[in-house]
Amino acid sequence: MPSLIDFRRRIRSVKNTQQITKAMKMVAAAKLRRAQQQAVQSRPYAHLLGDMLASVAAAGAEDCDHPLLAQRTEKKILLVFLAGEKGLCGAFNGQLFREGQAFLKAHAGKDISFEFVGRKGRDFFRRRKVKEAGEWTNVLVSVKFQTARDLAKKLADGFSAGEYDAVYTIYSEFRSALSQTPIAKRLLPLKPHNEDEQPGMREEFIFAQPAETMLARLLPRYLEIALYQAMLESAASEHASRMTAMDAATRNAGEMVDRLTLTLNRKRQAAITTEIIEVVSGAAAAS
Amino acid sequence: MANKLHLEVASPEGSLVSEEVDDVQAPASDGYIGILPGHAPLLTELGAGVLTFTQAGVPRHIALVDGFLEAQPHRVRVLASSASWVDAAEVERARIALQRASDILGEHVMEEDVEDAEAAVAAAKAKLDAWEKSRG
Repeated sequence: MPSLIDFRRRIRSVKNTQQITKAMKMVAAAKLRRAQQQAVQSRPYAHLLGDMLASVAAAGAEDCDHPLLAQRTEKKILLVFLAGEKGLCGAFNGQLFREGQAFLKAHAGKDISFEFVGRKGRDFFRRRKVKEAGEWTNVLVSVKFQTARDLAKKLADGFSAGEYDAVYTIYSEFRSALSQTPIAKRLLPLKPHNEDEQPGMREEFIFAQPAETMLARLLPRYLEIALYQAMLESAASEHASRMTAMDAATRNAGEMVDRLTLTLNRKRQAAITTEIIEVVSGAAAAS
Repeated sequence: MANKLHLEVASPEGSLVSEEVDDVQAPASDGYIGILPGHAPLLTELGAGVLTFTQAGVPRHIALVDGFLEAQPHRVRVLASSASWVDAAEVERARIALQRASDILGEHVMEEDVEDAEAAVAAAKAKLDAWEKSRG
């Protein structure tokens, strides 16, 4: 039977934990805001780039055979797996792992290697003995465009050299602070055509460089920004997920403290009552 | 509005400018080009350098590294891998970066390092140029 002291200790310990989860929630919220802001700021660039690609494509560079557009039978696949850097973020990492395993199942029999972004994905799949192409850890804590650039260069080089026939990515799409869904997307070969583009709206451009050259320069940029945005979304999802998880943990700790306090008070009351009865009955016996 | 250009400058880190301007000079890959309102539609690649635009007679400067420019009669859009306003602190950093990159180029190093160092030199020079220009 736990004594009153034990109860007090327990309550104190739960309160300490609650303070930690509360602090983690605040930190996650601040980081989420930053990641979201970064994502918003990258949007004009991505939008303009899409526009320019469409202009160039419309100007007759459509049927050029740039290495990044080359369609091949998918035998060797590279999977860029973006997961969290840390745990304690609810179902975030677990959902991504499940998506990853589903991908492996769906592409069974093909030669799949993994490029890990974020520590957790690496830890999980390393234990499952998959082929590793490389890892980028500690890059999602604060997402830098340079990282996306380096990664894009590596992917583009590998793809152009025929090391891979396709490059996919799995990352967590940021819908809102409350909803994030893991998705698998193909990165390479690129398909730069916007479906919602209306033909005839485009003006005839003078090209300072041939359209093919422009396309060759624009496509890698497109890959870079796609990766950058995926990284930002993934980071934002991680923070959002952690925020929600820590919020729930803080609430649970609060409930637990209330429950424990109630039991503690009851026990204390019972002890006092027993004592009074003892005194009274002692007095009654004496008289 | 007839004699104005709407200039937009965006980099992955954010949009720098979205304003009405009188003219734009941009560092195209084969030399500076000037754009006035009514320019024919043009698409070009940009190198590292200084983008200058004038608002009510006052020139302003942005350091650019690698980008693209799309001009239309009343609109100029610039995409840059990196673009920044240059202030005194930035200039100090650029000087240090230039020094470091030049040191690397001075030694015999691997090919990929040379590429990086050359890019760093170009970026730092663009910033220094922009600073010089903005001080007249």
